[in-house]
Amino acid sequence: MAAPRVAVVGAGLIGLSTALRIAEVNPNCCSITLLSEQFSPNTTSDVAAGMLIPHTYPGTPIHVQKQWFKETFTYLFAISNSAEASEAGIHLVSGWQIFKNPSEAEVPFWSDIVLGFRPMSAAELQKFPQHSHGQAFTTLKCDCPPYLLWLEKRLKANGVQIHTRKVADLWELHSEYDIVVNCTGIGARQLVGDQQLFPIRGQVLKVHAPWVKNFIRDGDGLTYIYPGIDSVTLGGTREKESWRLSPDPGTTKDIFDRCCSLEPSLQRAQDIRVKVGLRPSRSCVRLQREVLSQGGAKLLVVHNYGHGAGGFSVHRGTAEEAAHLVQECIAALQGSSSRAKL
Amino acid sequence: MRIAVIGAGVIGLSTALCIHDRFHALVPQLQLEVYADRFTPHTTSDGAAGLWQPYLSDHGNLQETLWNKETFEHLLGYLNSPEAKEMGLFLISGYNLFKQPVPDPSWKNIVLGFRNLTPKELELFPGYSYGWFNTALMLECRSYLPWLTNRLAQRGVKFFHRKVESFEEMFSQGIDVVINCTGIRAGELQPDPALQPARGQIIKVLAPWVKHFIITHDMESGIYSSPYVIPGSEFTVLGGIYQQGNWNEENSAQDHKSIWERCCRLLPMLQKAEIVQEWSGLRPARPTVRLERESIGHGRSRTEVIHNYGHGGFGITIHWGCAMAAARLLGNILQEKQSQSRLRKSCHFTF
Repeated sequence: MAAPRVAVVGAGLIGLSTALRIAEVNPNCCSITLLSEQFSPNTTSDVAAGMLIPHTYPGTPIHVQKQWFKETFTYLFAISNSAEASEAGIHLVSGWQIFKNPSEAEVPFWSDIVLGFRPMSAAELQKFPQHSHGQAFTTLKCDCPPYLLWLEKRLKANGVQIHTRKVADLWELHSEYDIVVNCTGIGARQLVGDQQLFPIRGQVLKVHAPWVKNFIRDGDGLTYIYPGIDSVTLGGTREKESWRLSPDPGTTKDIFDRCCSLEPSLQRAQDIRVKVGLRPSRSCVRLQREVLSQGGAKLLVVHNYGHGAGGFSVHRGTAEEAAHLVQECIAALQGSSSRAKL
Repeated sequence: MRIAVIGAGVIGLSTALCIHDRFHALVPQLQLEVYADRFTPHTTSDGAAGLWQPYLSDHGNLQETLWNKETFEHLLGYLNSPEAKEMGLFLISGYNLFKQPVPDPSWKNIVLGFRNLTPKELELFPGYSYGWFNTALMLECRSYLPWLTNRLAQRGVKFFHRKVESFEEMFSQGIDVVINCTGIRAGELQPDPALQPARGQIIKVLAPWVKHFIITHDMESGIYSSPYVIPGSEFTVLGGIYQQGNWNEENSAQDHKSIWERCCRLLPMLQKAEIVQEWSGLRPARPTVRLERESIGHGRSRTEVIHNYGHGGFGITIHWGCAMAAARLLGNILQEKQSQSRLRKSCHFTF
């Protein structure tokens, strides 16, 4: 049979990294095309700070989440330590996660994967008079657009075709492709009608404050300061079921005030830009195969969406799993095609 | 009462400010003046990256360790204030790397979160088998010196842009006390064989993805002769040159090559960094900091000099502790002058 034709739909972090992993794992054995309506800098991923601090999915076993995080961290750690680091936008950053409530300051499942994780000392906590406990560690940050652009470049080097196209229905691809990988993030709600998927709106500010070298994250997950290559991301909000993509000025002021109370020097930040993203939230990432059929025709689908607030932290791990599912699809196609020959 | 500070680097300006803070209300006739032939951005201090970090060992010099501690705590107090950005002050974390285990430094409890490096962290730095991680402060002099200057000017301190040739020159103009903060050129005012240049050269690059300082150490070749990378608010400083006895302030192509190659080996991502500037300077190295009083002349024409120089490669690190110590010495002098003048007055009356 002819080489299987694979289409990956979605060019955010998940689409690009999944397409890359498929190409790496299946060199020469299939053709891969990436289709997306939006590309960097207009994806949800571009709004995120890209910090490797995992979000916990209630519907996924912890050991699986830990494995995903470990694979992602190891992969990015190697890039950060190479000459490619600046182009890929990957860099190490140290900082603090602080808590007002001692009960919240539990040791998280990922503490032994990040670097140097330990409780903050009393002297360190003096900088945060309203917080009583904290954790210090070093982790990685993926700056977007650089990371997404670097992934696109790697895709092209691996022979992946990239096209701008709005896919209204997965079935419309059945005649051109054998396998479709659905990495449409929040778009999957519309595209495949997944009612378990819902947006959690996040508004952030990107500011020029290059003297801020450490990250600060309030353990409640709402207030954070993440220094990137060219800007510092200040956040944020978690508004469940809000689809509003336009920035809210009251929220902007609130985020700024909350961040300034943790890092007063931010009062001097310049060039404040406001962005909004809809976290594609779900109790667990949908990583599964599906077969669509109409009449005698079939389309094999691999879903990889619903990463919510934790996409960056697990992207390589879920890409790996999705690539395995694609391999299973290829094997299934080859199996049925050889049966057809008999 | 005219006090002249000679030198407008970090030592001169901070000593002037400390003196003004402490005495201007107590000694209403106090007139403070700063003399220098080089002002920011042309001082030795301006070339330094600005990282607060003492040398590895204090050689039992508890005094200097205390001054370092006082400086760190003084700066920490400003960290959350609205002044911090204008001062060029911010927190920074980073790594000190070694090729073998070493004793903990005298400053381990002064900095924040001091700990040893984990094996995974050491994977980042092939060739180094031991190290420390801690959070310290950056104080960038190209911001700090203007900040100090503005504060001094606001308080009416006068600045004179000229080279002072001798202490006598100052006293003949009616200066009562001279504070000698002349750094590497102190020998021109009074020979001091203990003061020697320790030449450094640095390359400034654009590398905004570097968020940590990395200081490597070669216990054999000595402090700052091994590559270091220090990210500032705008540029990242690459260095690793410490040449004792070298007075040359010109950039050396050989040193450039050495810094560049060694830093790129340490951090491969630097290969893509754009070079913005190169600079050489002379650290005013001395076995100990010279911080003491000296009476010049005798009898009625006895005048006082307070020396505050010889801070080597740790001037920024130690500056405020030394400024306070110099101010205390001035306090002693002022006290003595008060007593003397009362004595003279009472003598008058008995006549």
